[in-house]
Parts: sequence; structure tokens; C-alpha cells
Amino acid sequence: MVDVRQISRRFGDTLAVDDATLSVRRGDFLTILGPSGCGKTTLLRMIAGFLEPSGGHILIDGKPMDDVPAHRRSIGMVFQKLALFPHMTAAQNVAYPLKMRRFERGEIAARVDRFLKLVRLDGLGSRRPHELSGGQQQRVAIARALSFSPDLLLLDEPLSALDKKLREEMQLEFRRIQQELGVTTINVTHDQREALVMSDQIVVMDAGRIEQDAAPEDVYQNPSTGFVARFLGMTSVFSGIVVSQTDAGPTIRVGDREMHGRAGCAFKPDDTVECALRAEQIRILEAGDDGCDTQVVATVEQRIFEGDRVVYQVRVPALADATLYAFDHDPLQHRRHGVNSTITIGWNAADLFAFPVEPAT
Amino acid sequence: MTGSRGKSVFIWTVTWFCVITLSAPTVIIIGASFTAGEIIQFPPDGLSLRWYDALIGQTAFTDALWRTLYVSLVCTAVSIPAGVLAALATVRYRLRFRPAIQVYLLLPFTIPLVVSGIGMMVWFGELRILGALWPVGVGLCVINLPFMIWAVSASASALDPELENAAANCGAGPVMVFFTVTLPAVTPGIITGALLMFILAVNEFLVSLFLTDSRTVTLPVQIYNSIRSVITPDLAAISVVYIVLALAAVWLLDRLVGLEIFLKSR
Ligand SMILES: Nc1ncnc2c1ncn2[C@@H]1O[C@H](COP(=O)(O)OP(=O)(O)OP(=O)(O)O)[C@@H](O)[C@H]1O
Ligand SMILES: [Mg+2]
Repeated sequence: MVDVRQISRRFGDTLAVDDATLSVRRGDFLTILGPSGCGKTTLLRMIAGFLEPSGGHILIDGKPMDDVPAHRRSIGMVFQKLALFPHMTAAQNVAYPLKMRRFERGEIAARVDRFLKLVRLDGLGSRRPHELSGGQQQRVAIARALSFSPDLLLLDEPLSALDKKLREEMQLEFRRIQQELGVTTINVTHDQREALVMSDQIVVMDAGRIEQDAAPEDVYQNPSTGFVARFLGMTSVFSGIVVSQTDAGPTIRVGDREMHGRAGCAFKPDDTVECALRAEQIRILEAGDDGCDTQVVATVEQRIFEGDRVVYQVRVPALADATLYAFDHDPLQHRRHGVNSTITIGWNAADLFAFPVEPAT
Repeated sequence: MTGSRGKSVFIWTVTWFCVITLSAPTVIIIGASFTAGEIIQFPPDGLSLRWYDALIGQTAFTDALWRTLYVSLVCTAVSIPAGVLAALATVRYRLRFRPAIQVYLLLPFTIPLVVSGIGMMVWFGELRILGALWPVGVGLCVINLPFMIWAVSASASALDPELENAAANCGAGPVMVFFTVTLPAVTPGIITGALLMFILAVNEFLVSLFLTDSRTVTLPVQIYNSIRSVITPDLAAISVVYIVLALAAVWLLDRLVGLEIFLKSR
């Protein structure tokens, strides 16, 4: 449905988007995930037609968009700062794209009603944007972007200004509306949770480049680069040297220990690699516990209480003093480990990812 | 305790001094205009409307008033498109030579009115439009245009450019974007600027003096002409007409955009 082919955009010396290629299937929800300043907005603005790419092409339904101005693309967009028209009421905002696209008058009224109801704002149509709460304004913006049944919906971090609870409600709401209407959607965020919750497909970006393009589970479980591994979830990263490589995966030496791991590519002995371990895959072992492929002794450096879980930050002398993070998901049932106490932790070979060391940027 | 009392006495003294000095001429003129006597004096010598009556009888004054209103309307009407487009161009678009253009648009401020007046008199004479009334309005528009640009720029720079993107995204072509989003956003500035232009045009004396003759004389020039002969209380009465015009403009401004916005945009 949407094909972005090797698109780039340069601002002076900075390459905000660097040779990005991605495609979205009709009806899918794709999220572009990346840290601040990695070029997400720039990419979205090129798709919407507000910015000309410096190179590459965008195709929608197979048609190149090179010479199609923004107002002739059938795209609805929810802006980062919402951009509601302040001199119009909520209903007039929702009606605006319908008027511009010359819908019949009866149809406009019917759609305004229908979409205000869809975003649960019936009865508030006569208010101006400044008379609405942040979440309500948000929903007006969504209704405005959807009212004319666009082929494509673009969302530029529309939820980032909301508090956590409202944001999580809106995420589910978005997903509900999107599935109800079946509209193809590209969402932009730097919130990994949002990306994992809402998407059919996640594109992870860093410094203008696309690092990985896969389903949420894949991105989380099989990150293709160290950057992706670090960006999603709470991940411990330390470096090691490959000792040998078999079909099952590499054996890596870290400090004075050798351990098995998993990797997306084949390494040669003596390659330097980065090893990533997700906090939820490290187990805190009691005496007599066995059954982890790798076990090490660690010193607790910090115990962070997060309500539903406790995060232990530990130092492992055997792994060249690497710092690891481990969760305790049921702190009431388990022994409490104080700072400076010594614990044993372990993990399985399949949970240790190895990545080539990233070239310095 | 005494310190803060001393302070408040001081502040109130200054405040009342300002209020009195600012309003005294107005109060005196208003009072004097209602005199029943033969000369301008305050307090007035008896109360009557005879000088207003005399004013209505003098076609020189009433004709000049209508001409002034006509000239001011021409001035305002010309200044709206010119000022709005100039302000939007300099604020919203990345023009080449933008600073130079901005300075150029402020030039009328820096030139003494006498010089502008002579310049326009000569130029209008060349164009053979000197005897007509409407060029006076155009001339007044030229010298006061910076006020209009200033007022519109203030609201244009408060306009979020993303709104224009949002409008395009909704399917509005450039012309529709201008009329449905850009123009409404700068409307408070336009109203403010238009009223300023109108008042300034009603009051402008020096440039009008150069551009009018005995058939096209406007009110400020007419007043000037009559004080050169005898000063009678009908001058006070015509001044009150001015004050009423100004008050009406301020009232209109308050009704249309709200005075806070006007004061804030300065
Ligand atoms: N108009 C511009 N002129 C110059 N540089 C720009 C412009 N817009 C963006 N950039 C640069 O391009 C890079 C990418 O910006 P972009 O806005 O796409 O980031 P982002 O991923 O949306 O970040 P955020 O999550 O903070 O919104 C940044 O380094 C930014 O400084
Ligand atoms: Mg952004």
C-alpha cells in the first residue's frame, strides 16, 4: 500500500533520513520507533508531502508521489502538536477536510456525527479546542484525520503529551478505532511500550537509518543489532571475544568465563562482539537451584523498587566487572537482597544475543 | 509600614498627575465647546449647544468632515491588502533579502512628514491626480502603512505554521489555506491595524496640507485654516467631534478584538 524506496533527506550537513526503505500492507499498523532526533518526523513529513525528499521515492498504491502536492494526497495526519484550528469548533474541525474535499452537505453532517461519536466526543462538538481537555483535543485531532476516510493515517507522537494513564487508554482506543475502520496507519513514537502494544509491524530507526523492520515479537526477541536490543526492554550489554562458532551459535569469552550464546550472523574466532541480556531472562538463583546454562556470582549494587517488581543492579567480577540488571517479579514471596550482598544469577544460552560491535558513529 | 504608605502616596500622586495632565486638554475642550459665550474659555460661560449648531451651519466644516471620512476610508481600504500581504510575506516566507525588505517597509517612519508630503505632492502632480480626493487617501496610507504591517505581523508570527500544513493535509489548496486558516488567524491584527490607520488618517495634517487644495480640503487642514483667522468656540466643538470619533474607534476595537489583545500585541 505504501512503499518508501531508498528515501533520504538532508538539512545542510545533517542527513536526517538516510536511505530508508519500508513498506506497509493495507490495513496494517506500522510504528516507527527511535530515539529523539533520529529522523522519524522528517520521514513522516515526506510521506505527508510537506517536505521534498533529497533522494528516493514514495509510492502510495503503486503511484509515485513525487509530483503530488500534500493537499492531493489522501492522507490523514495527527500532528505532534495536534494543530487544531483554534478559530473553529470541534465539529467544524472535523468537518473541515470534508468541506475541502467537497463532500455533500448531508454527508458532512452525518460523518461529523459519526466520527465524534467514534472518538466518544458526542455532545462536545460545539466547543472550541481551548475549551477541551488535552485528551479531548487529541480525539478531535483523530476524528479530523479520519473523517474523510483517508487511504493512510499518519500519527506523529500524538500521545506523547499525555499522562501515562491517559496515554495507555488512548493507545488501546487508537488500536480499536484503527481496526474498526481498517485504515492503514503509520505511527511514530519513541515509546517502546506504545510500539509493542499497538503495532503489527515495527521499524526501528537510529540516526536516520532503519535498523530493523519486523513484527513486534521479532523485534523484541530477535533484535538484529545491538542498538535495537538496547533500545527495547531493560537490557544489559557487555563485550566479549568469540572463541569458536558452531551452528548452534558462538562461544564467547567474557572476562574469565566462557559461555554459549545466540547470534543473527556467523562470527569468526577472535571477533569482538557485544552481548545483550534482557533483565527478565536473568534468574536470581537460590542455593541448590540449577538448570541455567551459565551461572555467575554477583554483588548487588542497587535495589530499585518499582511497585510491581524489583530491579537489581548487580556487578559481576567474573565478567570483567560487567553491570547487569535482573528483575524480581514477586518481591513479596522472595528473599530480599540488600546492597552489597552476594547473589547467584544465571541465564540460558538461547537468551544471550551476540552482535558485531557497532562502528563508532 | 510607613515605608509602604509613603510608597503608595507617591504612586497615587504620580498616577493622578498623569491622569490629570493627560485628560485636562480633553476636559477643557469638551467644557469649552458647550459655552454660550463668544470666546473659548474654561469654565464655559453658560451652557448651550449654539456652537454645535453653528458648526452644522458651516458647510466648510461639514464638507471637510465628509471628505476626511472618505479619505480615511480609502486609506484604510488600500492599507488592508497592502499591509496584510507585506506582513505575511516578511513573516511567513523565507524571502531573500528579508531584512532589507523589512527596513524598506519601515522607511515611511524615518522620513519627516514634510519631506513625504512634498515628495508626494510633486509626484502626484506629475501623474496629474493632484486635484482629486482619493490620492490623498493613498498618500496617507503610504506614510502610515508601517502601523498596519506591524499590527498584522504581530498576529502572523503567533500563527503556528503547522496549521497551514494541517489544512493542506485536510485537502485545502494554497488559496483555500489562505482564506480558511491564515486570514482568520491574522484577523485581530487586521482589525487593530485598520482602526489605527483610520484614526491616523482622520488626524493627519501635514501631508494632507500638501495634497489638498481649496476644493478638497480635509478637516485637519480646515481647522488650521480657520485658526488663522478668528478663534471661536466652534473649533472646540469640532475637536469634540474628533474625540467622539476616537472613542468610537476604541469602543469598536474593544467589541471586535478585545482591548487586552490590542494592548498585548504592542
Ligand atoms: N527544518 C530543519 N532544518 C534543519 N534540521 C532539521 C530540520 N528538521 C529536522 N532537522 C534535523 O533532522 C534530524 C531529525 O529530526 P526529526 O524531527 O525528524 O527527529 P525525530 O525523530 O522526529 O525526533 P523527536 O522524537 O524528538 O521528534 C534532527 O537532527 C534535526 O535537528
Ligand atoms: Mg518528531
